[in-house]
Amino acid sequence: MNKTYFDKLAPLSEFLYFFFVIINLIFTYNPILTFICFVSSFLLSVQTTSFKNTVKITALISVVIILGAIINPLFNHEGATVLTYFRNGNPLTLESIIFGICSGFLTGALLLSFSCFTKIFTSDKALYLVGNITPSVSMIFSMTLRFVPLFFKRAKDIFSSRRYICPENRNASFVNKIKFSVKNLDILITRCLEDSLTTALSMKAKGFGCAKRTFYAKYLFLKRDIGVSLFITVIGNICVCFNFSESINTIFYPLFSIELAGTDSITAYICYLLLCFTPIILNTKEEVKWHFLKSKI
Amino acid sequence: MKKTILALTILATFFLTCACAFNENNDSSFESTCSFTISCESLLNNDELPEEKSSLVPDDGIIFSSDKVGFSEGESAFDVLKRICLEEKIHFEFSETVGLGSMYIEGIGNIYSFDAGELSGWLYKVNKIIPSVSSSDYILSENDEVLFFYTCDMGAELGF
Repeated sequence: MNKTYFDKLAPLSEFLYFFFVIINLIFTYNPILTFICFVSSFLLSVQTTSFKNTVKITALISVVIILGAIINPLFNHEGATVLTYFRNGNPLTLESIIFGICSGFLTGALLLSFSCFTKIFTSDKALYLVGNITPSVSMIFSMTLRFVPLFFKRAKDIFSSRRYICPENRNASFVNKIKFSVKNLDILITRCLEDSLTTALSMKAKGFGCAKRTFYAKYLFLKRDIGVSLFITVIGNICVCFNFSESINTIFYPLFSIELAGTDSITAYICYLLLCFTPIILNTKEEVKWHFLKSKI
Repeated sequence: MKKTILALTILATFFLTCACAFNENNDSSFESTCSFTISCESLLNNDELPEEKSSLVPDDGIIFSSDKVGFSEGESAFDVLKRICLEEKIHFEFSETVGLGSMYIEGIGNIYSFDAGELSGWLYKVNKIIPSVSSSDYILSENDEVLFFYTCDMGAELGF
């Protein structure tokens, strides 16, 4: 994976970015904020991973949106615009469909930004940020986070190697296939248990748990990190203030209405837009700069 | 991917056909009549109702009122309410209590239970008495006086 500029910033500014983006999104339920977050997370995901990968995630997320649009009107019949009636006599309203789509989009935007979060904010960064405050908890946390991809990788290894050891299994019956998979799982768990024992012994030998330990961190906190962190904090706090002053409240029932005009709401939207697009602007700026430097040589 | 899209389309059409129009038989040959009122007078000077819903309350607090509403033998108060709301295009939502088979009225005219505080909701009276059964179990008789009303205090402010 090619590291972007935002990836190389100090972990604190990255954490602040995701914290403010997600906090502002959850507490408003505003479709415009949701849309901004969705677009920015999509672009950030394209920059950090690849376009193909992002489209794959987005296709999965669109299922959530469609499900939201279908399921909400089945159970919620509030709203002034009655489209038609269900067979039992309850109405199907436009507002409930809109609410379903909006909540689906909100879930999708959250999933997208969390997928970026896991790609950018890796476990070693988390360990670096909170390692001094709660060493053991952050240690356990980062180890658990590491275990999920590790499990998948090992399972893949075991499965592919076992398939070549017993090739007659390809056309085996259903019961035999299940037996094969259960054996795979058995091997996987045994291997992981053994490995964790080795890890524990090695950690003990290196002196884990002794008092007064220092640890090496490869992250720096430079002037640019101070600038970015300050910018994100200030603009994020402005957004939070607007949220709590209820100037960008959305009313879903009985009639759908969003606050569009008005200086308060427009300022809030622009602030959130700036907050969301900070890493994308930084990355693009860096890429453009690099491009020009390269062409000169 | 194609299979997923196909499955989703089938699912969507299934749900949409579930929502197909509700066919009611428009027989105007009813045997008996009763007087019927839907009222939310208790909300006229209420502060607890959210601002966006205050426009839903009519000036006199009466959503529907008629001296003569026809109904056929064996119809419950709930059936008549449902028919009136469909005919008059008043928004109406109910849910069935699982196990009892009785209907719970969640909202009439977009005014929902719990909109004006924890103790608010829809109640009903027949001949000025609140019956002890659900409205879907109360079988109406000739010249009954049915009143569906919104309460903000479990009926206490109306002397229940």
